[in-house]
Amino acid sequence: MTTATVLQPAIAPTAANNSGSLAQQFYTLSQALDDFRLAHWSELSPDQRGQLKDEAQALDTRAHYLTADAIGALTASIQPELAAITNATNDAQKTLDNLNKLGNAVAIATAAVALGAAVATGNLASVSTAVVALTDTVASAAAGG
Amino acid sequence: MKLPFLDKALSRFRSINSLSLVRPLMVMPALACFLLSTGCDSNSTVADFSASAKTAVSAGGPIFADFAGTCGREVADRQSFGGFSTDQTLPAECQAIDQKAQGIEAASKVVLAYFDALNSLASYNTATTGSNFNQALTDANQFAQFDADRKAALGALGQAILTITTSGYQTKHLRDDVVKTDPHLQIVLAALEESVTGGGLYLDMLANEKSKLAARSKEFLLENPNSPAVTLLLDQKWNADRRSLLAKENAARAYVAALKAIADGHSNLAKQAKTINEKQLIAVLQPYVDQVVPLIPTIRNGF
Repeated sequence: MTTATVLQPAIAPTAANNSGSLAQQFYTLSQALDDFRLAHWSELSPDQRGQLKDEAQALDTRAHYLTADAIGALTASIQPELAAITNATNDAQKTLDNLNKLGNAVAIATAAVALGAAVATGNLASVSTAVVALTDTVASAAAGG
Repeated sequence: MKLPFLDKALSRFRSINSLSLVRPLMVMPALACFLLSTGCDSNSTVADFSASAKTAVSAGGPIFADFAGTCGREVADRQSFGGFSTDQTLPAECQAIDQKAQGIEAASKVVLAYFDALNSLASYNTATTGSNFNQALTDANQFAQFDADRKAALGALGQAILTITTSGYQTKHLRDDVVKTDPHLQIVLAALEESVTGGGLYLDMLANEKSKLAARSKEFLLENPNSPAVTLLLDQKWNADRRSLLAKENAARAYVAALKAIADGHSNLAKQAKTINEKQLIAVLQPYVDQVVPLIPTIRNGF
């Protein structure tokens, strides 16, 4: 039985679809060789069958390397997008951290007490001012201030 | 920070200008309820959507490990029946695939982390913030002498303002994150989809593995004709292998369908985030949640 030489792809396609298309063609060719070998089994000598089988396997091996190239090119092409999504993820996490800080903000509670004091006086202008002060304090805390 | 809801609440509050000192304190809980009812739950639909996206993307993780898996199985099946090899070493070409597939798996984990953060942010319970706030308020109240009713009313109003404000802050950031991320997310989701459906990639690899399995059995029967028992055994093996590969193929297709629904849902959310109300938001996102959730068991069944 002959041994087919397994080569890494001689070309280095830059786009995933180039490598992938080649891989797909190699898989198809390999399957066609199998089909031919099995369909003409009785007409082929054992050496010929062995050679066709080895060639089909060599095509599969080449296709696998091309598949690896295609996946690598695909991953490389989205690196800027991955960085942007990671930034957004970190931003969402920071927002959550700020929300957690808000829950413990004594400054806010103090402003709320001031609002209560204003309400107790019955002076609606003071109440209004105190509400705005409380809102500003909460907004400032939310902004991380 | 622009707070139209607060302006509205305040104008309502100011309109009670004929009430006595006691009356404003009595209406505070009602005001709190009013404040709390103005859209505090608008993020729950985003939470549902991001939770379903997170689960579907996570369920697809084994697909990336199976890139090397299908390669390894194909190479192992090159050996004739009865070889009984115990060698577990992944062939070099499959190691190359494994290495590259880890990159695309890492990309899927970035998407997963994004939806996880989005889900955490959207489902953040502002009531918890209010509860923590109440403790701080109790501490601060040590310096003010209010009776119990006033303290309760004050707590309700303060908590309402805090909850509304944090909810607004939460919503603003959710919207900003979704809008800012969408173009990048669309590209990454398309890449994940391509890794499955693209030429020479996962589905093609599975198809090749299936073709090779069939060829191996046919070859054995050609070499060993006239043996019904062997034919029967091979047929059983073929059916089992085919079912296993079909489950993987169905999982991969369901994963791709889920990715498409996630991409469409996120895109719609980004387009309309700043203009729609809660009811419209539910109408926009719920169909995508309904598409993604039923796909998850199929994705999981493949591996």
